[in-house]
Amino acid sequence: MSSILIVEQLSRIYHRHQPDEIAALREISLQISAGEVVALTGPSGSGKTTLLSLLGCMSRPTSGNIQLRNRNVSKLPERFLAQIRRETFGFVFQQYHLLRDLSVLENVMLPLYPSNQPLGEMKKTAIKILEQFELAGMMKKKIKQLSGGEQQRIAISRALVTNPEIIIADEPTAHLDSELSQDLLQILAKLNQSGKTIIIATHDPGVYQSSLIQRRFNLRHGQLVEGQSS
Amino acid sequence: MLRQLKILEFTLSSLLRRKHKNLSLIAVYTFTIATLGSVLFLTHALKLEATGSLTTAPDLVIQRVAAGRHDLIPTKYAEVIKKLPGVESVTPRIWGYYYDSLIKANLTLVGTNSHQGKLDLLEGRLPNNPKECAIGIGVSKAFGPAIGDNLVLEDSKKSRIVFSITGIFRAESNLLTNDLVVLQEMALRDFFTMSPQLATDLVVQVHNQREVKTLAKKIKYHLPDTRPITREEILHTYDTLFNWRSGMMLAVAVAALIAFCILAWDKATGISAEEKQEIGILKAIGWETSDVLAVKFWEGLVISLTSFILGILAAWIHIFVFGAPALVPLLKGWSVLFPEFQLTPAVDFYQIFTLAFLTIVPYLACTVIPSWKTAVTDPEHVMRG
Repeated sequence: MSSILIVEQLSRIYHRHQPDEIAALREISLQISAGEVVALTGPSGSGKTTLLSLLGCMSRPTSGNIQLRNRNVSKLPERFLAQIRRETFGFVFQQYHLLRDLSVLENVMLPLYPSNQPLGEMKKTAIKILEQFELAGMMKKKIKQLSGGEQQRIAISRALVTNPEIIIADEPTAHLDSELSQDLLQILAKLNQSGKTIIIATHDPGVYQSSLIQRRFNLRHGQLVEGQSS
Repeated sequence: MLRQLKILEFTLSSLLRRKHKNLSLIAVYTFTIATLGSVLFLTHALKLEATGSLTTAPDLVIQRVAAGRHDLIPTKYAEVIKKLPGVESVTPRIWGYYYDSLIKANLTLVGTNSHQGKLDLLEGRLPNNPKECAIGIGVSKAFGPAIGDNLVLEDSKKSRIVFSITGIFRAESNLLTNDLVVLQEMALRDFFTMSPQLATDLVVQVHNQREVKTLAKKIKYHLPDTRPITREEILHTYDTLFNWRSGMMLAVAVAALIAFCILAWDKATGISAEEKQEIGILKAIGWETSDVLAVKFWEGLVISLTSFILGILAAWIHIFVFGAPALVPLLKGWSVLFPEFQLTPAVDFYQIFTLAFLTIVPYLACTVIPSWKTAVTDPEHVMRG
């Protein structure tokens, strides 16, 4: 399989040259193949979320490179990064990050606004995704009226509405019970079967020890400590 | 284009989501604009009423001053003035005030030959015998009479004199004809018990407008107890009077505007954690900085433009439909009491444009700039808070 993401000597330092300087990531190098499911593991503060946001082009590294399909994206201007985020990545955040005052349908439509799709088409695309997750019945409901599990599925629907190549999920089971966590893993497995590359940051053994995970990168203090494990 | 339309659609739904907050903002904004707009409309309308009527005013008005106050002037002064080179004509005027206790207002009584301005009649004709009169619309509304009815005035001997109404003046020069009662010259002299050798003042027309000031000086030299007043001085007095009064009102209104700007700036700079989070989410899922700024721009424009239009409409209705009940005591405040009068709607588009520029642009800046600061920050950083 060809590498979809290549990370070389990646470092991320917050508050650089200041007394409270923090090296969140130090010289990380890794490769992720297209269609692979990988887990970034490690305790809180180990740099999982930072690495995930760098891989997802949500922030820029202090040094090092990230190549997305052989294109160096680590120094691209923000508008190109926004386009890459929109077209290549689907994000499922730990806190879901849904807009609470919007309806389910409006939330799922959000990533499509900057696209060239007309409003009617956007609606159809969003409804189709909601139907796949059996959420079409609640599309007019406001987010604040929904349970945690339902919000999680809506966050996944929003991540998939642009049909991205790569799904990035940050602690997706953090707020779910074991039953809902299993449901989520099944959803992710199905997405992987359809060809999606999935990168999950987690410290939940139920996730990183599951059969879904093909490779695991373990982080400690911003460094890969055990290399790659299968 | 399609993208902008979709973003506009998102903006409108976003505004509706926070309807209580936005409606209260629009209410405060509208009130500020309505206050400023009312002052501007009223001042402009009053100035137009005054200056419009005074363009046909005489070149010079000569008053006699006794003990520092306006006094009746001997008509023989006209002969002295007529002899000065450059004088075209000199006409004695008879006019005075009449306080009516019934309507609690002063009326201006004028002799038929004494009014130099345009006296367009709405209907009827000017009086042609001592028992007739023509009246302004304000007088007509105050007493309720129409043409053919009688107007009863009480002279200084407490005798009630009855005049038959023959005409009503047009509202065009409302400010000056509103409180007018025009009588025949002799009838007015009788009413005021004024000697035929005296007049209220003299009006002087000159051949060359550039000589008006020189002639005024010459008249003052030959008749030291007179006060020559040029048309420019009257116009300047009106201008100063209204500018001073509107200046006072504007000072108060500008204070309100500044308070509003501080509020808007505070609201905008103190962009809430929720709004920051929203911007971070939108950026993370692929919105560009320009998309986020477009949302904020449209949000600001919709609120400021809606408020501006509502405020200007409210000001218009306040001034020209309801007669400026909140401002009239401050801005009209003359030394005499007028009967109620309706202002002719008049708008200075330069003022409207300036007001729009001074209110919409700062508000837009207050809305867009803080959002821009958040939107250019990495979404990961914004979402972490």
